[in-house]
Amino acid sequence: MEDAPVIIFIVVSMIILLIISLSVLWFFYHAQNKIIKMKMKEQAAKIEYHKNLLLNTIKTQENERARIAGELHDDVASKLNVVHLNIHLLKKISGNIPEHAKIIDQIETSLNEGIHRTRVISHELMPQVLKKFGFHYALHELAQSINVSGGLHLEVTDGHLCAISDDFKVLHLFRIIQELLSNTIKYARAQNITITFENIDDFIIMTYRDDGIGFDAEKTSDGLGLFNIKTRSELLGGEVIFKNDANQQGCICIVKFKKDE
Amino acid sequence: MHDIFRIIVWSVVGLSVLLAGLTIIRFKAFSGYLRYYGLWMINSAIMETASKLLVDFDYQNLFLFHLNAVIEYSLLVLLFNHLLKDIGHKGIHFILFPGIAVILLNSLFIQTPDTFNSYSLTLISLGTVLFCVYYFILLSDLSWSLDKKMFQAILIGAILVLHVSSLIPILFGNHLVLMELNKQYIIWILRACIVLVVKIIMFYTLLSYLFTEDIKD
Repeated sequence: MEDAPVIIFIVVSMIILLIISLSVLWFFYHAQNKIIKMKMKEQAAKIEYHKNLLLNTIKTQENERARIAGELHDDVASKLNVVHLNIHLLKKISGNIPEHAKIIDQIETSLNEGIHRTRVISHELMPQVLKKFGFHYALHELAQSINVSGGLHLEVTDGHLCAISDDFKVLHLFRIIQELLSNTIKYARAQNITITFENIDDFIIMTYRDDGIGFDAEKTSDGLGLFNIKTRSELLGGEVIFKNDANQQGCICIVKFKKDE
Repeated sequence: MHDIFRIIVWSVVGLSVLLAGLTIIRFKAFSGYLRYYGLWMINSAIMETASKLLVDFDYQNLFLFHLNAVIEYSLLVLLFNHLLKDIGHKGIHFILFPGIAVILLNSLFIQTPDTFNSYSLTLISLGTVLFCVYYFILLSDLSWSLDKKMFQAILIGAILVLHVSSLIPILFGNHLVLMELNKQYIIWILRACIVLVVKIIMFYTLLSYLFTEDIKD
């Protein structure tokens, strides 16, 4: 056998086999890429589905809250007021009998408490001031109700900068602030809270800051509160960032979302 | 030609020794099939270094190929046996001893240790190539994490390319050694270049995995 043809045969065979084996590897790589792309598509569809589900759940929840608040305010509270009026009449009629007057006083006290509780629950379910006068006033009313206690001071700066026309967005932002306040009151042992608003380019940035003990958002598992804040921020079409203060005191929460078109 | 070949071969030997060293140092991080893979790399390093040194000192190195055939065959059978069992397929351990017997019979009666054992080495390479392709087909269907899959694909791909590049030169090994040295170099340099590239990829893959996370089976 001559040497040259053998060498050519060996070299060509080696190259052909090498091409075949590299093709196998290439085919495997592409098959994997295809599978990964498909999985990512499925994952994205799942995320979208869950997002929509969540959005609808929250919408339904808010609608139901508004309905219950309306029923409490317009129906239950007004009926209780009528009863209150009648109690007054009864008090006048039987004013001379001391035993009756005592019982009527007890009923009146309980009734007043009932009317007050109904108002509070109705207000908590759907802040009427938010509905009637808008976000800016609702926030100031919230600040007043907190400052009245004396233990905690809440200051709102440039609330007027937060001009949102979409009622749902307003409600989401208000609920976020309520949730943050609730967390501060429950866990932070803070004395001062500041809420500031800024308009930067096309974005509204709300910065919530307290001087409490702070927490590590990375290490803290998403409780219902944090989850709600994140979800509502997403529904606002924005994002939320939790930070510890520079001197490791207190907590900073920044909610950034796009202005109305 | 001779100098180029020497440089490439020493580079391959150097990389093999590095790979073996890496394996020995971090052998505890290897588990399951990777232990056999590690042993296969150590064996390759020892064989390549020993055969190169024997040639350089003008000693006969053909007996090493007979020894290597048995060791490499055993390690590859154990490796693929483990890999196939891992993905719920029937193992291939039953071919271990018949295969060793065939290799030994070839070495004792057909291609004795003073001859290049092309038959057994070709069969080993052919079998390895077929198992690699079969394994890739099975691997495509599995829904493992991408990292683990790609890591395994690179390692098994390295075995595939190494054996594919060896298949034909080994088959014609006994014919090649009779040729003029300069003519042989074309083939041996081509093969050595392929091996060098594969070893660089293996080295990089193992290095990045060993020092970023422990490899789980």
